[in-house]
Amino acid sequence: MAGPTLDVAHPAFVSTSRNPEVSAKLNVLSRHRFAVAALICISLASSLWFLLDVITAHGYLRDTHAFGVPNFDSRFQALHKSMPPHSVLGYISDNPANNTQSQAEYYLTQYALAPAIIKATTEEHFVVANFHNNSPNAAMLKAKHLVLVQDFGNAVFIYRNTTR
Amino acid sequence: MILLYLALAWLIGLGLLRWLFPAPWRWSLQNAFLLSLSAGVGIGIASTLYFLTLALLGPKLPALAAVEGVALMAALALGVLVRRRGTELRWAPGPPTPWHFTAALGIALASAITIFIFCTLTKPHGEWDAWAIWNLRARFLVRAGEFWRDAFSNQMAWSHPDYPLLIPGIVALCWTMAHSESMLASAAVAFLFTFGAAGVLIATLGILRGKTQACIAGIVLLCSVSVVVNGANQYVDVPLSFFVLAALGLLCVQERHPEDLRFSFLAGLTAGLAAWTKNEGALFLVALIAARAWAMARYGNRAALLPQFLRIAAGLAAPLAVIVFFKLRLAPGNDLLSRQPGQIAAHLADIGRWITVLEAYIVEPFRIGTFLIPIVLLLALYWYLLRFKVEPQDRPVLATILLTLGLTLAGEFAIYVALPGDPSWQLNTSFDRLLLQLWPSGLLAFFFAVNTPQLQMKSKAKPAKKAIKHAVKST
Repeated sequence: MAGPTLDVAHPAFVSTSRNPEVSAKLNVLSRHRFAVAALICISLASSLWFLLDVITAHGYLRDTHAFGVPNFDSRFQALHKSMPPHSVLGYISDNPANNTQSQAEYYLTQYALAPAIIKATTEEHFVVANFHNNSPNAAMLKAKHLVLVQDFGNAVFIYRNTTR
Repeated sequence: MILLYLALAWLIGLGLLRWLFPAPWRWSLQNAFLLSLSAGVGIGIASTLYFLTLALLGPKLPALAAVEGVALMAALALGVLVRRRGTELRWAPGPPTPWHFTAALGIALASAITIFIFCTLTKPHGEWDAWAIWNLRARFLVRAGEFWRDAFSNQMAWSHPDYPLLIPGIVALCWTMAHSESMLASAAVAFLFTFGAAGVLIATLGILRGKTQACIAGIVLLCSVSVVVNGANQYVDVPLSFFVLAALGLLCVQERHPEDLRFSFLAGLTAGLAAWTKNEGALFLVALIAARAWAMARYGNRAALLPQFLRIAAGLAAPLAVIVFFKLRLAPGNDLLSRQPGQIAAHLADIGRWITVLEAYIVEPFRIGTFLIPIVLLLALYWYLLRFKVEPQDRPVLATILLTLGLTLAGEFAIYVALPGDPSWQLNTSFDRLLLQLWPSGLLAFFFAVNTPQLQMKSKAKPAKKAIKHAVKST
């Protein structure tokens, strides 16, 4: 069954196809519309796609940041309150040396204890210990000449270097 | 209370800007432009005054409150009582903008704000650099009392104590005044800079190229996920990008209104505040001055060169004086610049370093903004379909933007090659953020140069289009 057919002899079609100016304008119009639509749609899709990721990740990240900044602040709060300003302390941790996590925890300790200055060495009179459990490695402490001064809880300790 | 003090800092900027560019109190493009700019300018001024008060009078709350209060009253008095008529900024003429552009801009804004809020809720102290450098410095300034100079101790060289203090200063100011170290301060500052930059871009392009072009550029910037995320992570690269964009945008507007040299004054002030934000801002400042001088001499009106430069210097003077004071009196030596010439020469002779840096310069632009499809490819397609259209009178300012961005990138290239450390590590940890500092200005240049899209047939073609519809219906 034959459907409706376009009458290409209609004056409108004749004028469009034979008029190069109108044809060029339609061409420009479609090019511009395509460019704008592509740019805006992909931009919005990128943003909304990431938004879904962020919402999904939010709950997970909030619950699993065991060593995030707020945690460090609360762990070191008692020590921070007991320290005078202008203090300089050494630092020791049970993390393996020279990895990103160790470095991050050292910086976070400095952040939590500011305005005390925390140096990444045990060669200071007092040394702050950032451990991950409450039973530190006694042999390591002995080898570094560190004796316990105070246990602040949450695996945070202050040691004294007997050689300084 | 924290937000109130930040709002007062914003009002300092708004008062000053309304005095410079008075406009009736109603919703207008000019007021939107001033409102966006004043967030950064106000924060910059308040931060500078905080630092000067601390350095000259010590950590005395009454003195700080008096200095900031006087600045606020003076700015408000100037802004409210001004009677003269200033330059009026309007949308550039063009065809009406279809409603769906405004709707798309609204969606982009809502999505960006939601991303920002979720990132901030997840990491209220920001990401690594935020707590290892910027918020750490603010804690020192607030907590150390009379020992506030410990913030610049050489014993914390890893935290770059030579970095300037715009962001730590405003955060410390809010904390001091509010007697609370709420992270709302740093998050709100980050919010103002992130979305203020979008406001400045949209308003500048609205003045230069019209509403449609401004909407498209605003959508692309707000959908640049890495800009929003880095903003929420409280990285100072986003505030720096705000000042870079503001300085270049103001020079664009200056070109349209050559008789009103206050735009150059404000461009100088924002360029100075860029250098007070981060060390890379100093490189941008040098690049801007060199580029502006060359572009005006090459394409522009040479007679306007001296008056414009005098205004830029006047705007620049105050922040530059503060930076010089900080660098000479308090900041320890920069870790990158305090190396032996022999080491630098050895690095320059190492071809491997050149290749590593060059590779990053080629690859990283494809990752800007974290789009689903690399945005440089999308913009290349956009350019291919629309082409550039630069009027002769726009050449000086477009050359200024492009040369400034080029010189800044070239300077950073030289730093990566010549200075110490493993360039791969340095590029991996910083180059994406260095590109973000220039990204909003890059968008300004692109949408300033590219043709405004023609989305509707002009009057002549309309009858033909109607006739087609009619013919289809009649069949």
